[in-house]
Amino acid sequence: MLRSVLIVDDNPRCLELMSLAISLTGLADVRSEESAVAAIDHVRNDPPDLMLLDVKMPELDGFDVMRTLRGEGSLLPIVVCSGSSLEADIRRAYAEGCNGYVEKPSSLDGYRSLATKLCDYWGVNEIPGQV
Amino acid sequence: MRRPLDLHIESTRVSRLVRVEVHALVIIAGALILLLASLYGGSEPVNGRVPGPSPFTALGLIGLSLACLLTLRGGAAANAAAACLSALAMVVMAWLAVAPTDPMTIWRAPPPPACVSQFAGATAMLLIAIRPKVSGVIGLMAAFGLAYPVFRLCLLPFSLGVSNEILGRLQATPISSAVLVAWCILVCILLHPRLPFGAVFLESSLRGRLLRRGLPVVSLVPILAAAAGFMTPRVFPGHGDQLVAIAASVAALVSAAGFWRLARLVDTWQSEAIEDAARLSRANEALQRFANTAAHDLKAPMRHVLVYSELLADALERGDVEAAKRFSTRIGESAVDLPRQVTAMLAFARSSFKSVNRTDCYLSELVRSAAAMQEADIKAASAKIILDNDAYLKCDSSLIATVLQNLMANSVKYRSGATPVIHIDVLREPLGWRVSVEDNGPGFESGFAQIAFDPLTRGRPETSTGTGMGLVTCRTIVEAHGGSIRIVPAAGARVEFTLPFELPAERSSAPAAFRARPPFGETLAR
Repeated sequence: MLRSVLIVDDNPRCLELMSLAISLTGLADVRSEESAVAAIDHVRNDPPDLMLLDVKMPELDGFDVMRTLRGEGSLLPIVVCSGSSLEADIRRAYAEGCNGYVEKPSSLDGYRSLATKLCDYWGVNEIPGQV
Repeated sequence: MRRPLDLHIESTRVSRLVRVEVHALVIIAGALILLLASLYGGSEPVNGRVPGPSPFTALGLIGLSLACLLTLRGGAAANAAAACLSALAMVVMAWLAVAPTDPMTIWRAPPPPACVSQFAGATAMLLIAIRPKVSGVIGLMAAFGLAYPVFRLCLLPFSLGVSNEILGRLQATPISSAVLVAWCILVCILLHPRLPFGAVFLESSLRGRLLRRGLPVVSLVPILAAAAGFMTPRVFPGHGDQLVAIAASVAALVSAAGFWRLARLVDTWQSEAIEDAARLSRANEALQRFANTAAHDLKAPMRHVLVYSELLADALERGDVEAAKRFSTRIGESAVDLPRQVTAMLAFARSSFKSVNRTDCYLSELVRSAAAMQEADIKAASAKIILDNDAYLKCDSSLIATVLQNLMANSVKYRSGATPVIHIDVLREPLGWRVSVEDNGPGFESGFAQIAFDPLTRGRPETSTGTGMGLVTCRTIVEAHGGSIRIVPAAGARVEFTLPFELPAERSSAPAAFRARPPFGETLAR
């Protein structure tokens, strides 16, 4: 069952919106990190059930996070949530080991439906799979 | 490192007609005709002047061309065989040149100058077979070998109708033999793929392709000249043979020179086209970066404004004033980003697509105009700007001022507690100027130097109000000047960029003109 979600984004407003949207689905344990390094540490110390990861971040980016975690053998489901819809970015994200790729929503309904979909998907499937 | 021979082997795509082997085979065929002519043509002088071709010349040509074919084939055995053939030709030609008795009694020998030519050619071929590295020596030997046949052809206009013992001796070699000897030395030795000169003909550039296509055309002319020189006295008694041969030889020389010149021109055009393509590709990359950045940076605040306004509407509907206040604040914060992002994007677009218009200007002037653009922030932070050295630069003043402005803005933006002090310095290096901007701030974080010049990268996101476009704009401008920009480890933040004396597109070999650097105080007082 999906009990905790870690949202990683360098933009605090993105973090707030996503946390808000996921909280509205009834999930209590919504965590957030503003940098890739902090996110990696967080996963190592207290792994969540799902990670929502932005790609474009300063210093280490989302690809680096995935490479590091997958390199360590982590099977944590990672959904990339990015502002970019470029095919190259999507291909690269899957190559680095993400389980899903979604574009950042541009409406409240979009956020709501994304959060609902994520919770539904990982709520019924305990084994990580592709979105 | 690739040897010229490998280059030759790789050029299998080149049409068979334009390879050195084919020329060697044509020369062998010509030499066989000469041999037959010498054996059956009779030994009486034609028109009282020119004796027929010598069988030794024909055999020497066949030997040299065969050696050339063997060296082109490669391998130890073929090389050894080529060396033996060349050495044999050397010995025979040396013996004929210095033979005490007239070998004409046995078999008509070529006159001594022709023997010396073929001796030099055989020596060059031997060196190609055993030691191609000494290309300078081989070139000299080939030039020495070429001298007599070329002289023989050039002498023709002055020898018409003149009876002179020395001229008679010099023109003792028939034109057909002289042309074939010259052609053999030119193609089989000088254009041999093991020599750097030959490699030019095999390169894949337009120049190489043009020379390869042109060579057979040019080669036909002296072969026809040789045939004409050989045939005309038999068909038309008189001086017709000489005139035909002269005209053909001159035409061959002129067309060869023309081809060479054309090939050089084509080479220049190709280089220019390649440079243009590179410039276009850089502009395209910049466009791509711009589009990606625009999409990402402008979409984010827009998205936030939209979603927060929906949340605000929800909160108002519920009557939750606290939440409504929070969301309206967020809308304001998100909207503030937009004009700043748009301004930064426009600055980047201008720097990306503007062509560089270089003028002479002092660094101090650029610093002054950059500081004026950033005046409000500099005053607010009480920042000090110190120009350690001044220089007279050649650059696009508005673009380089933008670079300095961005670097100063970063120094002010990412300052530590102390008053920002920005040192700007310039150093003259062999190829250009190195300008540095250093501050007393906290400096760049470790690992930032590699990604600093990528779009959307912000130095310290937690404290920054930056757009992530400043350094990428700097990089675009500096690269458009042909320079490079980098972060240098220092106590504070130190960025260095280079401005070459000449743009990459400028092909002038003349050194850039520089005026003497004026005293620092004087430039500031201007």
